[in-house]
Amino acid sequence: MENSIFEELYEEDYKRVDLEQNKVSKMYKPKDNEKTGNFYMDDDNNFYPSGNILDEDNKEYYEQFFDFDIEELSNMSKEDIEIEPAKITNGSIEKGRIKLKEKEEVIEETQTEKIVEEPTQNNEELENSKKEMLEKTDAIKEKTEERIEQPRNDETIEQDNFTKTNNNIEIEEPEILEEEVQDKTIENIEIKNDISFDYYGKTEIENIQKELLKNITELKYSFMEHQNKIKQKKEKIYEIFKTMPPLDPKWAKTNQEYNKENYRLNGINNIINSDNFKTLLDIENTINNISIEHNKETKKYHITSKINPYELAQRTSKILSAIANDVNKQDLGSEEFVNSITNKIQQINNNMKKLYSKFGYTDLYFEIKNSYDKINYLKNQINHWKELEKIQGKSYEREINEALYEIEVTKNTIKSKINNLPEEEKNKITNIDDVKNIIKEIENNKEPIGKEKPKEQEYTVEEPEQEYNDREELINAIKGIVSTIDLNAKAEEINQKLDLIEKHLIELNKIDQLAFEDKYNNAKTDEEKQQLITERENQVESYRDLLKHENKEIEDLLSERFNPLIDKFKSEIINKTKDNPEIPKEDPTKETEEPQQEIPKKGRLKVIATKALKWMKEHKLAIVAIGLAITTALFVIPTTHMMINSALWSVGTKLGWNASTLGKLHSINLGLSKSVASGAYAFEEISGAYTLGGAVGAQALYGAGAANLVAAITGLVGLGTVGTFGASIINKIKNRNKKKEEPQQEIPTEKPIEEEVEVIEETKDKEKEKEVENEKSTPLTKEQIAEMIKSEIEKAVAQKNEEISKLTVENQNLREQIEMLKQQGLSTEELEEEQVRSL
Amino acid sequence: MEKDTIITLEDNTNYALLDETIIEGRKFFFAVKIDNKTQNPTTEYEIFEEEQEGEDVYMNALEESDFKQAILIDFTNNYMHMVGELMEEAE
Repeated sequence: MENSIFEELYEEDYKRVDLEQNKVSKMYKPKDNEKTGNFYMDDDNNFYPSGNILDEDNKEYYEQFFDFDIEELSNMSKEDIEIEPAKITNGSIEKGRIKLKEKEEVIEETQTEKIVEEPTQNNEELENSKKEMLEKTDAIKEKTEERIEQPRNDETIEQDNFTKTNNNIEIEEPEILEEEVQDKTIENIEIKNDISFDYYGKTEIENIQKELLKNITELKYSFMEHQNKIKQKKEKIYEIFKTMPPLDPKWAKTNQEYNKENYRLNGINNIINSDNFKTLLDIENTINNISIEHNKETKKYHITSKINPYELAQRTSKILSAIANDVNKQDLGSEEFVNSITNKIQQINNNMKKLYSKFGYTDLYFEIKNSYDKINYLKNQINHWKELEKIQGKSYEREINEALYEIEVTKNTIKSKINNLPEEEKNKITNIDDVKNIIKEIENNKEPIGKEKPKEQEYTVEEPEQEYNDREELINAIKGIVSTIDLNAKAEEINQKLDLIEKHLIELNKIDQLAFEDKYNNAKTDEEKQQLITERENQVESYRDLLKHENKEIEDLLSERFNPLIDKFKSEIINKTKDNPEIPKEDPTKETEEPQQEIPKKGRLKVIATKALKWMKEHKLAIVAIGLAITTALFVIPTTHMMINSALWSVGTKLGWNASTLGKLHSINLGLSKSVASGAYAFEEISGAYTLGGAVGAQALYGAGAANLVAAITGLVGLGTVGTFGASIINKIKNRNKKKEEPQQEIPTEKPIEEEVEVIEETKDKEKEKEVENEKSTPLTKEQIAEMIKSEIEKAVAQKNEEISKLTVENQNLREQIEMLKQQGLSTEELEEEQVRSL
Repeated sequence: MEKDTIITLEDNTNYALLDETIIEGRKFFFAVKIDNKTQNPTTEYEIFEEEQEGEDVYMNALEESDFKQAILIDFTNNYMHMVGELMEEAE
């Protein structure tokens, strides 16, 4: 069979990703059918059936590529079946085989029984037989791969023995209800077994389950795919970059592009390795583990999961939002990728909604919840009016009666909507804990409209209207409210208390902040101000102590609610002082921005005078070269070695240095790079930095002619020997260039800097000067220049050895860090990458 | 404050601002200390962060840190540009 036939019939559907093994297999679906006959193919072009091989609709597709006997396999579990994959080799397809692993007696018996049972006479019997067969398929438990069409007709759907048959809402089994009410934690809520599904419903859930797994897989794949794209781009830029001479005008741009891609790669790696992403994998696992049990007596399907589907959807949505937020925050270099992630997240959320609505979390469920909130609001209003009646002596009867009427209407609406649902839907919705509780509440609080007084609320929040101007009173009030919080109380009671605590906390902070601002603005020294800020920060921190509670859960609740507020107080401490009038007040609804990165500083000094400076560019280059050599000396900049090599290459080749000279120069720098990996770290890095100075200096030498030699020389040796060598080389090059051009500048002398130029030290080494004079008459060859530069580099490095080895001791910490990275098994490249990342 | 300026700080030290870069809205300078007597550059280099408070400008000298090294990459890049420009002029 030609491969083209396969391609004619099938198309790639999606990729299945195994993140742990980093494997991707391709899923194929028939072009003419979305639901059945799917395959998946591994890296070796082996392909396997991914659907239920016993399904009639799958059979016609699988028979093309596999030999199997459907009757032989019909009663077998997955473990008993062996699949020899079909294979595409050289454009043709080798048929695979699906067979039993071993034929056991029990199986044979079942088979016989099956054959005997198999009716083929009439449609009804056929239908029953098919149903039985599909039920047995269920036993194979290929939950995620089953794809069964919905051939059922209404007649075959049996009445649900578990559904309630009367049309009134019944509040039954209070003892069970009590238990359920108390067990309201989000974790470990299991879908109640008294929600059952018929075959049709079960298949729908399976399809949604599969769709969700597919969505999540695609999402993961998108991340992996984009990660690879960035990785490849980064490598491509690196390949260009490492061979690019630094004098190329695109050098700096390419360097920036490389850093950008590296930043992006870190960004996507961080997302993939984030806790949010791991939670997504847990969610995927939870979806995969939704199990379906078949009750043979009732012929119904019961679906259980570790977590209630609505809670699962909420959690998933939260995690996906967090991932989307991470994606939006990062520059990942592709709007297309961001859009595709957004779409995939939307698909998952939609399918989650489909899933939980199958368990009764329909629009009506949310309507009931809203109605219940409305009833509670009205009840609180009634209590409020009653309190006012007591205080003001004024009657609020009309308002109270209207509210009671409204409550009654809302209750009746809820009841009637539930009662009008089809039996199965009604059963599902009334099995949800929230709805059970709502119904219970409604039934237990029958309040005749406007005749009897509504029940007194069991709680009163302490003096909500009272204003505290004294901070001690406020503190006591907060502590008092915190101590009375009871998690078993009604949600609205707890919320009211939390709102009151918040109000008091804001008031307390306001009093303290005003006192602080007063002191701060009168403080004379920076130290005094700093001291006040520290005290104030500690004061805000102490607000957390007011929220302590012996009950851990309550304390967590309080922390979750008020920590952001206290953090906000902290961030506002300095913003509101007169010293910072330009800083606008933060919008309390706006999320606090990430604090600016803390940069260690030595101290702050005011600028009291400025003066413009006229530079001669060459001298500026020299000074900057020295500066860069000195300030990079103790640290690693991974691009340093590349820069040195490129600079040497560029200058050397343009000056026509021979291979031997170039090789020697390179070997100095390469030696340094290699040594980084071998552990002699600080020493070589320092040497490298000096060499960098030489390299960049050398560019200046070539680029701007003789006058730039100062830069070259200062760069070459970094420190100390600048003047001596600088002068000698300048003179030599000047001589060389005499015939071609007049020198552009005099050798710098000690001129005041603001007059014209910042001058590098003049040579004082008379012997060198003499040597220069001697050589004036003989123009240097390119090789001689190269040799001199080379020997000076070596000399400079050697001279610094002693100094450097002392510094290496001081950099013990740095060494330890490197050792640690090495122990973690990082290769040289990874080590350098790690350094890029840390920068 | 701009590069190619000599600044005098309140402790009476002078610095020549060799280069500048802006990162996340914060301005940094690469500076060399100028000898008060000779008026020549010394080998003392600093990276300053500029802070503006009303009319006053302050310079914060950065301590050794990863961040400082990252800024140095920027200054190194600028330096390579300067070299490149000079080359073009020479040609």
